[in-house]
Amino acid sequence: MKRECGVVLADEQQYLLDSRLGPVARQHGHASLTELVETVCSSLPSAPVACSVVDALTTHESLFFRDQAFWRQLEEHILPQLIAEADGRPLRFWSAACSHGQEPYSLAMLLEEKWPHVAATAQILASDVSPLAVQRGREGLYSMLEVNRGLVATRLLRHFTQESGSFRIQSLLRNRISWFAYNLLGTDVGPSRCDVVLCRNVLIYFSDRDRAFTLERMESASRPGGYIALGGTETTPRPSLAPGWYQLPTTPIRGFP
Amino acid sequence: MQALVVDDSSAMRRIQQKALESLGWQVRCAANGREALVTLDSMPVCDLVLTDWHMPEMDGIELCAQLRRDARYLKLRIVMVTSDAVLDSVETALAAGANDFLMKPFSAEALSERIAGIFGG
Repeated sequence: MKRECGVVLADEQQYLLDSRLGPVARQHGHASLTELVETVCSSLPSAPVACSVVDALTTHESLFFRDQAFWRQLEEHILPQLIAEADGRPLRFWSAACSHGQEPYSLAMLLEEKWPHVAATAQILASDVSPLAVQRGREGLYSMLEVNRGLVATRLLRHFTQESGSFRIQSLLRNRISWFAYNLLGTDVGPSRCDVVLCRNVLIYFSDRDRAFTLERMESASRPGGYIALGGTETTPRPSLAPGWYQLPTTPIRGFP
Repeated sequence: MQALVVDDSSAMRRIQQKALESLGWQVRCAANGREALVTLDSMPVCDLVLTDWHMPEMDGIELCAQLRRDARYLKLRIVMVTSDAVLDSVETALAAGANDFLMKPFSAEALSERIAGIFGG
């Protein structure tokens, strides 16, 4: 479980295994959790049963424009500065724990509304440890309950189309995002030279060691002077600009002396 | 901050009132648009109206339209609450003067996030 999604459960959280994995075991025709675990251990990470387990064990609480203060900081300070400094160079963003896509789509909406010329060339990368969550993000289809969370009516009208009882984000924004499944604690090499790496409310689920590893990985994904965004209560050894916001030094980091 | 909840269902009024009060709002209630206009008249100040769409006597759309014609309520924020989960309804509500839109059912968190969005919380 830790290898595939980095989630570490305390002894008193064992009940989560039953409540979250029980339905997955039944869905895949297994009589017990032990049988499910044996199947997952002997299957490829991309196998449907393994994807279901990762999806069930990770948290997908997400909403559009989560945390107003965070987005205000991005809109009023970080983006204007990055855009001015980039001088026409395409900006690159990585939403490294994108869940069902609300975060990268919020970013795509904001860019399109305020800086359409920047939005047209920007690269937005979106990944999550759960391939099923990534698939949902790629589809960009949200229920009424999901669009109620954080999405003002003017944005709903501008960026979504109706599909029976659900709402789909318009293809213009969908096509601007590159989606991939990615384990922050795995061995795959991640993106590099990003202007902003967003990894909010993820480290809280990790052990101290995995937290340090993930931070290092996020720093290596950023360009010098780039920004890392964490959840409001998550901290790094670097001084923060505003709750959750960190900037890397403008000189390249050359590893440990 | 002062809010007015307008809904013809007393259960819905109570739920929304409780949710708003838990966020620190002082709340008055009205059962339809006509009653809302009378209540607003008696309130020295009101910052937010959370109104249902479909109500007897005067619906939420007509209430929006009347409020937007009254100079006293220019700064008032109006959120339309409805079970019509369609974009056409969102468009109609905004055209009538609503600032935002919430679809029923919604959670207390969704209401809180919406208000934070409107008032910059």
